[in-house]
Parts: sequence; C-alpha cells; structure tokens
Amino acid sequence: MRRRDEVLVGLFTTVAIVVLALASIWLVRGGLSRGYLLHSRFTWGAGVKQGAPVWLVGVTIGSVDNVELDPAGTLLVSYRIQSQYRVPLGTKAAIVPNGFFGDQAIALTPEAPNSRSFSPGDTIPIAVQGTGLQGLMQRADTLTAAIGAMLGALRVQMVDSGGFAEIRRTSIALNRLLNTAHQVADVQSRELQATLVVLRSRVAAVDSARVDSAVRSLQASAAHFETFTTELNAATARFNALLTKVESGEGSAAKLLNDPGLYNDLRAVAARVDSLLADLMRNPRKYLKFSVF
Amino acid sequence: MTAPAPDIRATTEYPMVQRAGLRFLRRMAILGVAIFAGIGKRAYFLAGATTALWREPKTYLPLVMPHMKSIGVDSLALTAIVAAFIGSVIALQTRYQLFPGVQLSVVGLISRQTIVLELGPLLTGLVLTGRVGARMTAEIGTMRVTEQIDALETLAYDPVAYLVVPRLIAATLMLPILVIFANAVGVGVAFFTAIFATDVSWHDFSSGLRIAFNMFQILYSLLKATIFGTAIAFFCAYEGYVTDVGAEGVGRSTARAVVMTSVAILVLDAFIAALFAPRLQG
Repeated sequence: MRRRDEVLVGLFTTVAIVVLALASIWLVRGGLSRGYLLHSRFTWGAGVKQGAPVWLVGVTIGSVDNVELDPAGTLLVSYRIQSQYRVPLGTKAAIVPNGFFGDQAIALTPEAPNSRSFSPGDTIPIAVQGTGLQGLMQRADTLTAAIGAMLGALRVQMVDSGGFAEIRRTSIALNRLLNTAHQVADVQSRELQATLVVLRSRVAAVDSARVDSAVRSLQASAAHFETFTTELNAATARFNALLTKVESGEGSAAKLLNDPGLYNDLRAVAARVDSLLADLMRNPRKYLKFSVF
Repeated sequence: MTAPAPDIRATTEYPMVQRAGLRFLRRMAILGVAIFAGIGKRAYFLAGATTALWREPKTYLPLVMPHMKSIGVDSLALTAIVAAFIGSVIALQTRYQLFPGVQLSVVGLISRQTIVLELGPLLTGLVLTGRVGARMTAEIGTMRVTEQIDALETLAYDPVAYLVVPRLIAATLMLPILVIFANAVGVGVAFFTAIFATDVSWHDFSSGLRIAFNMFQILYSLLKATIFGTAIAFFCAYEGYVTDVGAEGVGRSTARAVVMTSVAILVLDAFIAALFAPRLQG
C-alpha cells in the first residue's frame, strides 16, 4: 500500500513538473523549436512586451523575446523568428499599435523584394514611426483641435458678442407674438362657435315636410324633363333620318330639293311672274276689265 | 503600610449611561482577550509543529507519503473538474464582454491571467478546504474526543509530530502540484471553449496567451498555492486538535475550520496580491 502511494505521488508530481515545464516553455518561447534571434533598437517603445507578435508584411513570423533598456537610452528589442521564415535585407522595423488597449506589435516592412535576408543575430533598422492607429489618433487630435477652435469662435459670437442674449430676446418677442396669435385665435374661435350656433338654429328652423315636398316636386320635374328629353331625342332621330333621306335623294321632297331643273323652272316662272306683274302695273286695263253691266 | 483599596463598585451602582458604557467596554475587552488568546494558542501550536518538524522526523516522515496521496492524487479529479468549468466560463464570458473592435487575442490573455494568477490557486485552495481540510479536522477531532491523542502521549509519541506535521508537509507540497494541474486544465479548457464555442481562432487565443507573460506569474501562482496549502493544513489541524468533547464538538470544529480557513485563504490572497502585484506586469 505504501509502495503504491509512493508510485502514485511520484507519478503525479512528475506529470505536474512536465506540464509546468512545457507550458512555461511554450508561453515564453512559443514552442520547443528555437527559431533565431533578430534585434532592433528603438528610441521609443511604450507598450512593447515580451510575447508581442512580430509581423512581416502582416504575417506573424515570431514574437518579441526580450525587451531591454540599453544604458545608452535606447530600447533593445529582441525577436525570436520562426525557423521557416527569413527577413529580407532592406526591411525596416516599426512599433505599431495592436488593438485599442495599448498593446503593441512589431511590424517588419521590406522596402523592396530582396532574395538576401538578415542573418541570425542581425539588427534590423527602424522605420519612421507613427502610422496606423497612431496616425489615426493624430487625425483625431487635429479634428478635436478644429472642433475646439470652432467652439471658441461660437463662444465669441454667442457669448461675448451677446448672441445668446439676442436669441433670448427674439425668443421672448416670439413668445409674445404667439400669445397675441393665441388670443386672436381664441376670439375667432368664439365667434365661429357663435356663428355655428346661429347656423344650427337656422337649420333647425327649416320645415322638413316642406323641404320634402319640394324635393319630391323637383324629382317629378326631373322625371318629366327626362321624358321630354327622351321624346326630343326620338324627334331628333327621326328628323336626322328624314334629312338623311333627303340628302340621299329618295322621295318627292328630296327630288324637289335636289332637282336643278325644277329650280330653273321656278326661276323662269318667277321671272315671268315679275314681267307679268310689271306689265300689269303698266297696263292694268289690259288685264282687268270691270263691267257692271 | 498598605496601599488604600481601590474604589470598586458594582456596575449596577453607576448611572445608566455609564453602566452601558462599562458593559460595552467589558465586552470589548473580553473579545480582544479572546482574539489575542486565539492568536497566541495558534502561535504556540505552530511553534510546537515547527519544533516537531526538526525533532521528530522519524515520527512523521513515514506518514507524509500517504497524506500526500490523500491530499494530492485523490483530489486531482475534483480540482480538474472545477478548473475545467472555470476555464470554460472565463473564456465564454471574456469573449462576449468584448465590444466590437477589440482584438480577440485578449480572450487568451485574460483567460491566462485570470486562471493562473487568481482563480487557479484560489479555487483549488477553497475546494481543498472543503475536501481535505474538513476531513483533517474531523479525523484529528475524533481522535481528540476518543482520547486517542492522550493515548499517543502515553505511548511517548508527540501527537503534533504524528498527526499535524505530516499533513502540514503533504498539503504544503501537494497544493502547488494541484494548482499546476488546475492552471493547465483551466487554460486548456478555456482554449478549446474559445475555439469551438466562439469565433476566437486558435491563432488569436495562442498569441493572446503569450502576450505579456513572464515566469514570475507562474511562480506567483505556485507561491500562493504553497501558502494556501500550509494555511489549510495548519488551521484545520489546529481546530481538530483543540476540539471540544463529544460529537457535537467535532462538528463545530469542522465547521469552524472550514470557515476560518476559507476566510484566511481570501485574506492571504489579498495580502499576497498587494505584495506582489506590481511585479506581475508582463
């Protein structure tokens, strides 16, 4: 039993120590593969911590292995780069923000494609810093300054030059105007109400039976008018048919109207009657002979 | 020539307001005396245990291993279960409390820091207070009420060396080992929860785990575990050792041991954090 306890406790402790060692190695170095070290010296590196990612053109290729303040006043940052990656010569290192909470990452940006690469232990030169989030924050600062200037100008216009007092006076005057309008509207409303009351009384005074009989008379007249219209329509239709018949030349009336010979005869008759009347006027005795006995 | 006798009057002879004040002061004095007496008793107990640690290795060394097995190996499953669920909850809560725009690697960072620095040691300590400490108090208390401790003294055994020191050593050694497992299981389960139950990627979580890490964070976690282990064994063994007579005394001692040890662990936790927190920054 005691032997068994010893074996169990020994196994338990060994496993714990192995777990601790592996976890610590993984957390500190990112795994059992060693990779290789590169360095940079920065003049400013707030927020750069061990374990921060190292990016080469945006791809994570390693992590910060150590951050050390040089006695000369520079920050010596060592990167552990994974063995399968090479950093091309001409690459510049910069500290860039990684998120909103002040975390930093190392960005390695090659200036141009280069087949040659840094050797382990080399120092990568640093680039001009202040891009990314930092630049954005600078823009935000500029914007804030502009807003501040605008607010200052607004203060001069509205406070120092009495803009607010003027607005207040205008507001008071507008308030008075609205009160007056409100009073006028009250008066108009009262008068309108009185008018409505009178109108209602007039409407109530009208005899509904008489109105009813008048409406019925109107309805009868309308019915008669409708009948008249119908008959008129029928007469018009017949007249139209007659005219059509006359225009087509059918019947005696049409012949009478459409025959030019008859017209000429009538003209000749009229001319003869004229000559006859003229002759009668000149020589009445020729035609009128009265004898009493 | 004798000194004049002090003017001693019964409390009831004083006016009512003074009487109330006197009663209050008397109660405070009794409470203060009890507190200091309790501290003194525990100090004596600790001194006895330290003395036995030096003087009686032959008595306690053969007993350490069974207690290590009982405290450490047998508690592994419970510790792992608690750590697993805590890790899972931390990963989920952390992910869903992040507002848009925050990089997801923060989930790994917060999970690691929360589990390794705080919840791993603390919850393991509290769980073992219930599982191991209560058992320890009940065992020693029962031996006290059944006069087995008196029998040990009669047989020229040092009861502290025989009952307390092996438990003290076993708990002090085993708590850090359990906390290593608790941290590993907690972070591991947080890792899998974050990957499979949320939109956090393997790369996000693993890069977050490695941000701002230094070895002192691990040492801090193990230091806390060691102190908690010692506190559990010490307070629980003491309460068992001074148990009143009867089964009721054992129950009362056990309850008091659990409460006192839990409070002591929380107080020690705050104290250790106040001491070492500035060094924890990555």
